[in-house]
Amino acid sequence: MLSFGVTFFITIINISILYFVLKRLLWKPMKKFMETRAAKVREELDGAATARGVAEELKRRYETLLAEAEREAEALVKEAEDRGKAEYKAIVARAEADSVEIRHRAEERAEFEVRRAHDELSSEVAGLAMAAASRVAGRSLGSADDLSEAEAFIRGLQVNRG
Amino acid sequence: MTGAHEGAATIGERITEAIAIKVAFTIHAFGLSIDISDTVITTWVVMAILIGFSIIVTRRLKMIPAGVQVFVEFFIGFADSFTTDYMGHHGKKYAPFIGTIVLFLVTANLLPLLTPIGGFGFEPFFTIKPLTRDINVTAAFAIITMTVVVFSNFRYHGPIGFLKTLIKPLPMMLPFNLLEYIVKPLSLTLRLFGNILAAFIIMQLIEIIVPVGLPPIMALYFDLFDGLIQAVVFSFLSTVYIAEAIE
Repeated sequence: MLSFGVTFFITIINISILYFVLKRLLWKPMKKFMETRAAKVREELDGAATARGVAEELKRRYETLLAEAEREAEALVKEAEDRGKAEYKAIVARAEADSVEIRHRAEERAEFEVRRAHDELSSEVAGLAMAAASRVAGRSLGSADDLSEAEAFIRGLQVNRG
Repeated sequence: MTGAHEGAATIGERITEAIAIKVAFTIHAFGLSIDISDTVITTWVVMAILIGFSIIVTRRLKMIPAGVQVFVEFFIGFADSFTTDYMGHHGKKYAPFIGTIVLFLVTANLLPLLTPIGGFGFEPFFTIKPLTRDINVTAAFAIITMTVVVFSNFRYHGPIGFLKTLIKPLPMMLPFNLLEYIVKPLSLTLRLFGNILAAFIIMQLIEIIVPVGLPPIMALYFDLFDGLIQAVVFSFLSTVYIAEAIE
């Protein structure tokens, strides 16, 4: 227990061997692995930082483009609205003008029809009057002069009555 | 002789028997007879465990560590940072040396816990005794450490620088500085040897006097805690001595 002997020297040799073996079998592979992994992680982090920078730049550009697009879209919508309103006003104005014209034409046509109906009625009434007068007078009153006089007489009656 | 005297003699004999360093076998080579003690056999077992462990651990290293790899990576990282803290940028060169001391002493001091429990007439079919109960082992460790200390001093200061360190801070300190090269290995040797041997003797006493119940509880301190703390103390002092030598 307390006597020095060969165990002392054997232990020195054993520990020296163990040191070199552990350094080669445990320390070096583990250190190499850990350093490789650290380098890889560092590289990936750097890559991630670069990718993040690129992504942020792209995002910034995208947001700028989006803002521009939104502005353009708003302008287009406003322009379309303005154009639509102008078109609407024009269409309404045109429709109003057309309706006025149509109504005007209809009135003219109606007046014309009324006048023509009056004329036809006057002719018919004149003919009937002429026939009645011929029967009363006992002679034929069928000449063109007689008819014209009769019509003029009837028109005179209408004018007086109206 | 009374029964009490017989009992005391028996305990003394049993403890003496337990702490005795036995010759396992003798090698005859080159006209020499080399006695191989049981502590050398235990040293070989510890070496085989550590070397086998190293081979197994480093065989399949994973990028995301798991299991034992986590412990090994933590240990190596800790040894690196510990030696760097004390020795500066030279520290990483000494991390494998300090790491080897820690791994060996921890394994050697905890290995006796694997001894099967005996008692009630049952004798365990094998026993592992702490190898640091042998002063040859602790002295070998201390001498290795002091050799590293002296070589480091030579390496970083040169022969003249080494001699100058012996007369610092004043030339009159030369005898004390020389004495340090005797006291330091002696203290390293005796601290480790004394603590482990004392813990081993106390555990033997406890196992003889109260064989049931108490030994496993006391083993937590005398075998587990004491074994770990002595390994840490030895490694820490070795680091400090080397750091002093290279600063």
